[in-house]
Amino acid sequence: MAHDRVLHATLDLLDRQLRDRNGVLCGNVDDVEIEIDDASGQPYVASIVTGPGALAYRLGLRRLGTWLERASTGLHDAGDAPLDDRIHVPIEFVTSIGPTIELAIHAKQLASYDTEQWWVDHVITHIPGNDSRATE
Amino acid sequence: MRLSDLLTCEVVDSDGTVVGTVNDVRLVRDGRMRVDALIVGSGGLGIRLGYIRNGVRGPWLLAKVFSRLERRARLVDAADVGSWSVAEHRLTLRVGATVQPYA
Repeated sequence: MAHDRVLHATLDLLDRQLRDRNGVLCGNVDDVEIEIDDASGQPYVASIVTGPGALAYRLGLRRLGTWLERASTGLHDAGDAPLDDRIHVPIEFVTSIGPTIELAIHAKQLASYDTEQWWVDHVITHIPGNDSRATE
Repeated sequence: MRLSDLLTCEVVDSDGTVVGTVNDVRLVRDGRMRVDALIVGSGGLGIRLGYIRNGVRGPWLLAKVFSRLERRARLVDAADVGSWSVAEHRLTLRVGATVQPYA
């Protein structure tokens, strides 16, 4: 990351498109997690938040957002990382901030991938005329 | 705390006088991404659209309108925040904190 660059959180981070390490579109920045450094007392950005419920939470629908985040726990395999880890992308994994935000992780590591996959598996493939099964 | 929680917070000085609501957060990347300052005001739309300090100049009518609307925007150094009571939607500034015009 470039040093000493000034950013404005709502202008330069929120709602920006995320790309994974392969350039695949994998969601948007729905919120930003800020933590206070114990030693210095200085606040800093710990992670960006993306995935089910995060946008609803940000828009003031706190209960809906929390419910959506909880509901999506059933969508990913038990062997995967905890949902909290799949919603938060540590800022260290952000490689570039511009018109899109580039991540050093794979889209499959994010909770938004599970939600998208659930819709593909349970809804999209059952729509008549869908040929996704033919191409698998 | 989440940024969305911070953006609903009211900033008050050490005497309890309301400075405004947090509209945006200025970040500086100097190794880690630290919160450098809070942009405090009453509206914030012009700031979010980049009309204030971010080089967006046109259309001129909108630039004029947003400059007028955001004229009360203030910049508060993050180091001047004494209490980050986000759960209570309230940030309290330290004694002697400087609040400067942003626009």
